[in-house]
Amino acid sequence: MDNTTGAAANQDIVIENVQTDSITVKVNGEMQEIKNGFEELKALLATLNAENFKSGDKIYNIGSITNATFSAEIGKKTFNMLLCRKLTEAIQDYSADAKSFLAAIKDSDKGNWETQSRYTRKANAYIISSYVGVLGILLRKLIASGQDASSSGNQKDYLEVCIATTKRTLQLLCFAFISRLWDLSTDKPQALGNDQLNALDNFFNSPVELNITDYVTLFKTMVSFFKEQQLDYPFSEIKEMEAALNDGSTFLTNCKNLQAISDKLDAGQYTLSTAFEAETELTEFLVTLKFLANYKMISVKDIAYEEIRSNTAQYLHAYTFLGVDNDSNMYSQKFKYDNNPISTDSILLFKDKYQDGLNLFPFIIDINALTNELEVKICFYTYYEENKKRLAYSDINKISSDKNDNENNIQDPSEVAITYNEEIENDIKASVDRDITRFKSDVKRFHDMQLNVVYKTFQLAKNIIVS
Amino acid sequence: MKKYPFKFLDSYNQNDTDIFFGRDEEVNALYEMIFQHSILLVYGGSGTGKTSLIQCGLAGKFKSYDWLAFMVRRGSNINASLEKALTDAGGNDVVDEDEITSENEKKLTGLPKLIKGVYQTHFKPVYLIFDQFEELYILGTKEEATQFIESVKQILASEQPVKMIFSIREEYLGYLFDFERAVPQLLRKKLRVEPMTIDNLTDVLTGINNFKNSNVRIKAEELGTITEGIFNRLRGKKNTLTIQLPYLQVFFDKLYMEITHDESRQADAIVTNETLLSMGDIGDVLRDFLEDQVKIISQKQTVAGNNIPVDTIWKILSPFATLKGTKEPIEKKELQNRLKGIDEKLLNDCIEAFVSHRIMNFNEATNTYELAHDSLAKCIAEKRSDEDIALLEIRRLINNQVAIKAEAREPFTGKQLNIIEPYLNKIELTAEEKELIAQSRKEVERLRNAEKRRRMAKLAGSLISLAIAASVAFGVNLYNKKVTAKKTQQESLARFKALAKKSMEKENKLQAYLYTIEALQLEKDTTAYDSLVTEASKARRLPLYSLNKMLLHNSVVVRAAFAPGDSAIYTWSSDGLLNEWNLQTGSLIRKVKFELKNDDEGNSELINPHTTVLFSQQNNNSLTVADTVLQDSSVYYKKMFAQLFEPDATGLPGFPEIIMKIRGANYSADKKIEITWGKNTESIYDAVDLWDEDGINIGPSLVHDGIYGAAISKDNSMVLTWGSDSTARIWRTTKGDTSIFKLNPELMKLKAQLQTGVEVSPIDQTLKIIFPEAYIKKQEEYKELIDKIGGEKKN
Repeated sequence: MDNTTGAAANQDIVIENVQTDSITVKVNGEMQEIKNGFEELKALLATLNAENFKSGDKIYNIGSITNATFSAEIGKKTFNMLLCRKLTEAIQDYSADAKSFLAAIKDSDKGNWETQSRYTRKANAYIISSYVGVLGILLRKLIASGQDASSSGNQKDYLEVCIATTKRTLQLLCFAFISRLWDLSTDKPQALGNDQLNALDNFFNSPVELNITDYVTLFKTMVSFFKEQQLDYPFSEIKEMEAALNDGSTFLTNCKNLQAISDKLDAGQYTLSTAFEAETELTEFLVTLKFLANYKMISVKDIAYEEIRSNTAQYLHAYTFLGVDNDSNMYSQKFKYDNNPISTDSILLFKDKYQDGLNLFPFIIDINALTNELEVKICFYTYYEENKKRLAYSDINKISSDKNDNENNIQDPSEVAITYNEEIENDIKASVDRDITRFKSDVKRFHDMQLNVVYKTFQLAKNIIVS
Repeated sequence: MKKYPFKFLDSYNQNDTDIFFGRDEEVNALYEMIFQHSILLVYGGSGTGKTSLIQCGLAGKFKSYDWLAFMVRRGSNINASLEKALTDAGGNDVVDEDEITSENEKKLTGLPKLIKGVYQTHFKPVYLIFDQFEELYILGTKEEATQFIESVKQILASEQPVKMIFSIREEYLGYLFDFERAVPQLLRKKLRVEPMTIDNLTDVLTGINNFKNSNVRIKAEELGTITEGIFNRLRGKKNTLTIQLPYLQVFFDKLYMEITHDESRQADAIVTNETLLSMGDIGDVLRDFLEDQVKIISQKQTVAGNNIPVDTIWKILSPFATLKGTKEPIEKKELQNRLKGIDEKLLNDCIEAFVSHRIMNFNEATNTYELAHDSLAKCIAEKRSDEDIALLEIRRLINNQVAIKAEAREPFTGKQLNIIEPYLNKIELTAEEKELIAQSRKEVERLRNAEKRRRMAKLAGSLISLAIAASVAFGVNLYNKKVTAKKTQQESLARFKALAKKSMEKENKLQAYLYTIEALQLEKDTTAYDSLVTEASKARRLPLYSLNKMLLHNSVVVRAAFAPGDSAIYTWSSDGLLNEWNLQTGSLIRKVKFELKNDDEGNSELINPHTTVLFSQQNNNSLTVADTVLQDSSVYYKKMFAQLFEPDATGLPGFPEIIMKIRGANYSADKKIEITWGKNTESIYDAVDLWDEDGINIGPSLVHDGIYGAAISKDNSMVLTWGSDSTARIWRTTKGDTSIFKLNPELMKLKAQLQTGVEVSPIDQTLKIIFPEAYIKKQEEYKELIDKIGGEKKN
């Protein structure tokens, strides 16, 4: 911002040199070194009672620049430094590794450890492994794309991952509430008011994907309903963040700003500082939701029933952890005997025991579990086209801001469609003694049969909750 | 800026996604599979574009933050190459000794630790792409392959964020036997890269036209005829349904140069029917290209003002192609060692010329030069004379021996020396190699003398035993001599056995054979060994077959036969075409349209308006299924025995437990070889197997998926297979190679029963489960039999 008036005319403040961790500032001919940070520069200018400073060939007014502008233009920051520091500090209550890591940082490095790769490498690994399942996967992408964006100057991928992380996080919160509501409604119909019904109807019947603002509305609606009805939250920690849902809160401002960034991304109107802005907003958003580091997720791959003669029956659970655990093990499959069954094909969200977890199926599904593939392929429900009997999901592994556009032959690569196959359903109904041998032997038909289960379960959930 | 849309003989990479066309289906399939499994296998023939499909097609589907790929080529050792790739990518950069590292992290070692290091440097999933994986089996050692399998198992067990893709030529799929046994998921997700069809070519040309930055355009209104014209030219007289990519690339380059004469490849070109026609008869594009380049290089290079003979250029190219006709990466220094008679400067100039003429590439990662494509290696291998081949065989024999550490190295045997000696003046030997040969000569001489002494001792022993009463003192003396001779014999025998075993582990069959023959000669007087001698000498005559020619039709090949006198081959397909092929060259002699009728006995009657010709399936031999083939309610079974893989407990090569489901069988003309076709329990493909008159499996399976039938030539030198893939295939015995070491049949039977847990019931000829008591008994019998034969116990 050009501004040649004011204090700069009296005080000659020039940024002379920028290092990863420090800035050399020439104040009226004298060199001073401060930490490379927006707050530090602000403090210096306040001490000098100055508002303007020069960096390169531009003069800036400290009151009119943001942290993002500072990172992009003045501090020449690399992505994710802020995110790395803030999230590591936020999760230390839930991650012993992160806590001991922070405690082990040398005193001399404590002020700027996020600028040193030997620390960020470890801290990033703890962040990725701590945040619940699918969020860990997205944060892994965010950190990698931040490295790429810093070196290539391509911010689009980074912005796409920021927005996807925001949206999937809000979806996860909403899915958890709706799943809990479904469980409660099965036992006893719940007294939903018009606001709640409208929000849920929008969720179940929207023919286009809801945006960040829509999900925030739904989340707020769900929290307020649970609070009113004195129902247990699916995440007990939400009790402590209720204030964050009040109008004008930082959290809601973060969400609003992230929606605006998403709009800029869709319109192709973004700059380097938009990406830093996204990092700042997303960091604050995730710090508020730090309790998500207290949860884990699994995809149930298979359940086998074993009962040999007089022995007690037992169940063999085959499941895969979602995300990256502390030893960087991704998608590691586990087998465990248990005396009780669990729901097949479920995605369970839990704190301590998966057996007590909340089933998020069919809002989050593992397509590979349905089609008997070993690895996991996690998809989030996005919208429903009633006339086509088609549910659209988004594969979290394939992030793109491209939207389906048949005229221009553009497809959203992340979209996974599940279309109800009526013919198979009728065939199954007509089969004698529920014998499905011929479906099992036909891979395509068997897959369609499995995908029908997703569709039918979604309809069941809708009927129970909304009707 | 405009872009030339062809890559010549180079593979397409991630920067070429804008000019990579015609492979959408395969790319999408691969992209789906990679999210389903941690190991993928990509296979296909040479020149089908496997590498491009992965490093351009698949890589192009990923965002940069989700794709950290390492193309791992074997180099001099695949394990070292893998480690180097990971180390170079920051595998060792993670500091793990300091206070900020958790205890769990410190536990990791070896490859998993390197992968974790790479992951924590980039935070991207690691994709290890083992390109041209067949090199491990062509150029590597058994130890190298075994170590690699262990590494893969270790990586999988560590559950690191890593996926592995193996790209291999399909004719080497059989070599994955051990690998798949150790890593059963290896073949679970696989993709065959099909050769290019006319539809793919249409997509390629349409893609080029739609790519706005292309400097090559195909005249839009002539696209159809140009596509067809190019396709027909490239398939030539073979009349195949597919063409090979290297041929297409070289052809396009030639066409472009015809139009523009611009070596910088920046000028615009428009391909029309007219330009295509002006190309004239193109012949074998790739061979012609190579021969042209060799001629040009020979004219450019001079020594003392004289041009270099073309033969010298071919000689310099020769080491870059293996005996099997695949490319072999070589370091400059190694090439200089192999071609000592050639001036070093000339050698360097030629290599530079090969690179500038796009015949060869330099691989910085392995510091080696290699041919631009396997198809060039094939052309070079075909140029070799019998003597060149013999020299390469000898060279391989010497190299293998010298490659062993000096302290463990054994001298050449007498028979090996007999093979090597005539060529010694034609190959350059290092001081080490010369010393080994000199040592070997001395050792052979020493053994000969020892053998003489042994025989003398034996003769003396006989005389003494007749006169034993005459002199006890003399008898004691003789006894001492006998003990000495026996000791020498036992030592030699043990050494030969150990050498044979070591050679077999290295899959050096020729060497192992020679050692065993030496061993057998030392054991002539032991009756217990007689059966093994008989088996070995019998097996020695049995040939191994390898794929020689592939004859292609446009539809299913329903029958095929050798012509009387084995001079030609007839094949006929379901579309009513009878083709006559030259047996030596594989070229099509003529093509006749027939109406095809099968009679009840499986003979095929071909009818045209003038004549009726009746062909039998195979030399009028019986189609009766052999007595040794067993039948249950629906399929025939046969146990498949000796395959030359791991050594048996006896120290001789063992065999896997394979049961073959047989769909058909046939005999050779002399009834000494039986051929069966069907599917065996270890393979996903149909294959032909050959059996000797004792029911012993000879040689490796001849893989022909979708096989309908097989026949063997009158002199047993060729096997003909045909099937639903529209091909007939000719398999020939490999020159100088022999199947050896057939074990005692009783031993094999017991081993197979123990390994499979089933046996053939002598009552109703069905397969029966062996119950525990009987199983233990059989185990004991098996051990006794091994002891009787005198083999070593395997650790």
